[in-house]
Amino acid sequence: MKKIKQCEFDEEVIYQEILPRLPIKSVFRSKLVCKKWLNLITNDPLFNAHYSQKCPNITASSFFCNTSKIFISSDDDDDYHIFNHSALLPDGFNISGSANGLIYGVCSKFTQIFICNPITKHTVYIPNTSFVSSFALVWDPYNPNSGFTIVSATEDVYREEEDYSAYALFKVYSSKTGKWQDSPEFMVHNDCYFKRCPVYTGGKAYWSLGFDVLLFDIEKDVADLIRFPASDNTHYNHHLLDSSYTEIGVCDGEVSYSKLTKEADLEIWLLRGKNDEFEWVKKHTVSLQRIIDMNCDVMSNECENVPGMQQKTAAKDLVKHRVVKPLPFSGGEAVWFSISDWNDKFQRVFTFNLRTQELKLTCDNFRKGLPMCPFVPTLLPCPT
Amino acid sequence: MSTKKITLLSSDNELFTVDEEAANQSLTIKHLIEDTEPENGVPLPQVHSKILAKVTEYLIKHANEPDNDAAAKEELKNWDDKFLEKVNHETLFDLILAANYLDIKGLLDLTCQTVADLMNGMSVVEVRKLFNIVNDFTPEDEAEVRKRRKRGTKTIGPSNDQANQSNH
Repeated sequence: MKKIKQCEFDEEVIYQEILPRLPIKSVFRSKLVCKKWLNLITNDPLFNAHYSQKCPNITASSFFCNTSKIFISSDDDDDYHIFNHSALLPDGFNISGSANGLIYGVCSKFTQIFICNPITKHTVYIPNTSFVSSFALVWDPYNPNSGFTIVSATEDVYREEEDYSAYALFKVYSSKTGKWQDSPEFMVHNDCYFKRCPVYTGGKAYWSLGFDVLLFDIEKDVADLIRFPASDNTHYNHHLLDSSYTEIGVCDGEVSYSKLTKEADLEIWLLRGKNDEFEWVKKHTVSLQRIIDMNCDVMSNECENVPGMQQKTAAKDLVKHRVVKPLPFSGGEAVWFSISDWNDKFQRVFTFNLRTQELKLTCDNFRKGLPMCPFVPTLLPCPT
Repeated sequence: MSTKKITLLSSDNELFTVDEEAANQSLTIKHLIEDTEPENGVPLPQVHSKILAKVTEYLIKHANEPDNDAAAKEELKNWDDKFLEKVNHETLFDLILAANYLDIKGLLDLTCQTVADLMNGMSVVEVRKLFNIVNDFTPEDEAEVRKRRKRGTKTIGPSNDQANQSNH
């Protein structure tokens, strides 16, 4: 009697509440329990969504990858795991972004694009892509069989004597047709600085330029520029410098903008849009000075090599010396930032929990100067 | 300030009385009260008195959850650990069922996490036994999944087992 009852109860609660709480390794082991579980773990988008939300080792946005390593931070023991790329990807690759648990980038001197799930170890390649420079991957984890799309922006300049303008051109690749399509759309902008990690959400790809975010709507084939929010205390002399104090990310389907102001405030903004009217809404403001003051012990322990860190640290100095950088905001309770030091080649990634006000060192040896993007794992294989 | 009392009626007709605030943690009970205004206790025909006793114990303890008091939170966490310490698997599953049916998020989180922790240290065979699952793989199927899995996990950093060991 009892046994039958257990079986009946299992299904929904097991799939929605119990399995998603297991660490990745245990989930993988559980594939062997029965066929249903195997299918659930390897193929089910809904289970995958539950897993991304609940997995104990993983809180949303707790992963960062850069071109040399992917880090997974784990909540329970302050430990993090590093994926070994060499087993996954050929030499000479560059990670340029991540989308819904897949990382993507170019390898072999831009001749091919790779898309890789570091959790399941699937990699797919798209050959002959030497014209691509900055691109976003689009795929829907709820509809994994629908293939994927790549949106690429290339920049070109128009120059005639004193007249100079830069514009962006767009190309879209569909895995269904296996072809690249040139978009007739172009967008003139004042920046010729493409940050390397574009983001994609809600049908549009976004590139962070110095003062603006460049967006491209795939369905409508339309591009637009939206000015980043300017608060009173920003304005660095040079916009290239300015853009190293900002990052874009995706938070619950909206574009997020993290910015470190001259006054050492970490600001998080969200782009709200309706009928093509957009506005920036400020979501959080955190004083870096306050974080440092409240967590003196963590900071002085972890940042011995950072100039000025030994004594009382003034957050403004850290900002001035470009030691602190914000990281993309992906929602949840934590804001992320990194601290690097002058001599060291590495930077440390910190998370500050907005609710508990706790500061935590997440990982300490990211190569400096390489792009970093948040990464939430997926158990689904790469789309083809 | 008077607190309204709510009476709960188990499947074997035992009565349990709790404060309304405690009872309202269960969204099912809350809605039952709002919709039907039962006079002779809220009937819970799916929950046996043995389990309902545990559930009400949890509800009463968690009725006034501290927001910002770290010490109180710590105390509550210790209480939670103790609460499930001597519970056998059968009761644990019944508690999950009850928490799911009564829609008590905190209790569902706690009990499911406990089962997940149990599973974490188990072999595949033990997991099947725990959930009464029949192995429907042929030996060939199993070998194939195992093969793929081995290749798959080879390069993922330190294993959980190692991580757990270094923790202690």
